[in-house]
Amino acid sequence: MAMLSVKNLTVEYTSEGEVIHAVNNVSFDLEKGQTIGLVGETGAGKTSIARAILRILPEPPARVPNGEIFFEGKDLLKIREEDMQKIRGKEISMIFQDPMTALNPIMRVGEQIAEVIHLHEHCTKAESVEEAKKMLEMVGIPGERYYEYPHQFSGGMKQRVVIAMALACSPTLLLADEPTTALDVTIQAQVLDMINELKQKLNTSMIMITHDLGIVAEVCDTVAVVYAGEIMEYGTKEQIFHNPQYPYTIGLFGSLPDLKSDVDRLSPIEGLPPNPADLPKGCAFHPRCPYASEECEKEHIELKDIGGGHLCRCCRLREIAALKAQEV
Amino acid sequence: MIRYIGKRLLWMIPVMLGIAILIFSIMYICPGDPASSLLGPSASAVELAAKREEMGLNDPYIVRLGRYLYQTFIKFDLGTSYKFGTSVFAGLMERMQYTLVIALLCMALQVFVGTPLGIMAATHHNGVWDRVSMFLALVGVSIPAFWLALMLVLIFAVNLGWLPTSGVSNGLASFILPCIANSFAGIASQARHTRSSMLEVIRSDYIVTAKAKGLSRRTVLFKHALPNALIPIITIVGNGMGMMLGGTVIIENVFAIPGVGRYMTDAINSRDYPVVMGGVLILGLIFSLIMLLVDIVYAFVDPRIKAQYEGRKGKK
Repeated sequence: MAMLSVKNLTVEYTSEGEVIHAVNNVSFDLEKGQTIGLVGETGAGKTSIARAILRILPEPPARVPNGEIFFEGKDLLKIREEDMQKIRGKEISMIFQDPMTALNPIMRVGEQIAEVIHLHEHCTKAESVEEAKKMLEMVGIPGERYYEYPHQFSGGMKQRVVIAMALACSPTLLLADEPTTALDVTIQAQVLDMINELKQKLNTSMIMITHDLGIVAEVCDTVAVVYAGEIMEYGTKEQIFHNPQYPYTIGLFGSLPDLKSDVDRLSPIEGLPPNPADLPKGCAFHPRCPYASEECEKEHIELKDIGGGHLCRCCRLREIAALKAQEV
Repeated sequence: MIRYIGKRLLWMIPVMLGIAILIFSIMYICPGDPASSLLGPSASAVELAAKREEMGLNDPYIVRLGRYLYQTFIKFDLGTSYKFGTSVFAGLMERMQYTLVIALLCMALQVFVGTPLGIMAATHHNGVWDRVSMFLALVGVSIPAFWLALMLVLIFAVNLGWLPTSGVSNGLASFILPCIANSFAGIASQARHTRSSMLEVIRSDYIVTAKAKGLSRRTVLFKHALPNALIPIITIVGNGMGMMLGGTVIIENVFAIPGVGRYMTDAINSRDYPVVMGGVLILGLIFSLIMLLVDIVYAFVDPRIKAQYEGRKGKK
């Protein structure tokens, strides 16, 4: 059995009487040492998936009406809160999206790392301080800066602190929620290298949440394309990158600027993501899909295996293939 | 930090001067004649004129102001009360002890009852406990202190006879009812402020980070959320403390407590200028010192503010 197995996970938010369907029946597996990339637009439900796994969704307004999250055989949604606390930070930890607000402003940076070590490793305070200094050095921050406060750190350094905190107890599963989005491009590469290196050293599995296909190419083994809270296409990195099938995925690759050809305009995916309180009937992407036809809006479409574990939630694959063949 | 405190202390000199000039001018413009209120309605015009001359009330504004400022800031003398003929400073200090006891007890009640109520409301946001404590807070701010004081006296002093009705002759027991009556509104506003501040902090990202570390709910709440939530509350507590040291006029009147508030109101009514001016000046001083203390406390709880005080070169 896979180390992490998410089955039919659903997350809803209630806002002003409306039910917002953030995550709808998401299922995926993750093996030890592997990295899955959750790719999609802002608001697609990627972060909600990660937070549901760690059970840190804001409840209320969030709710998990159904689903199972098996982590090393236990269903995380069913265990007691006390047991969950032992898993958080120790076995599963999370790197947060916005380093600027993820650290407690009135607590010393080092202490915030030492806290998690002291909590889970059953060591003395002094040992946890030493360990926290080592963690700081591992992410490239001098150990003597342990005693400084977050406001004395730059954004990139704060993100490193957040990473050090997440990795402090050598977690078996790391949830990285857009770990580089808030960073300069120059630092992005450094941070990604660091995550990759640490992952290999500790043999950690990872869920990489991003909307940056470049990052996916660099760190992921498998990719799940998330749209409107559903996995629309799933496959290995090679399957998705070399042979994208779902129209949204095709659109994502199409919207990447091509440096070789001379074009005046970028080619975005037209339209906006659907309102999650009022999802379109049938395929959630059909209002924006250039290949949509009447059958797309008839009924909800299931994920189908289109060969070698490559899953796709589209009913017009054959037609699309024919259209593309014509274009060429 | 020491430089900052020194700077702030120096700044208090112009503030005190400003207060002195302002209160002197207000009292100058105020209608009413201290000589006549001192000698009573039976005094003749000749006696009044002589008294006015003796008190220096006939001199021009600028001369009197100059004399007052010289006396206050060079000789450090607040003068003697027209009415009692005693030192204003000694009079204020004697009454301050009662006011201080009431103020400290009220602040203690406000902080130690109001804060937990606010925390409870925030952690049970939109739940029953939130509703209950916010309803109590609403009642608290709506009830006038004098009415509550009278009701408390009626129940606990008159009917049950547990506590004294008024005066300060029974030690701490004399202060129980005044403090409860006086702190009710403070408790209520403390609870409301703590709740809103706490709600804001609980929703912030670093609280999610703390939770994601596997800390217990309790640790997240008291180690991460509360210290952050209390920062804005410090100002409210400081303000309340300053206000209460100015005397709680209504409560002092209802319970016949010889505090600063009554001293001042009596002095205003009888045009006892030295007492009014001395009182305002001392209260101004106390208020400024408390505000300085609030800012120092801020620096200790919030490293970002401390960094501002110390400036850029303060980094070790």
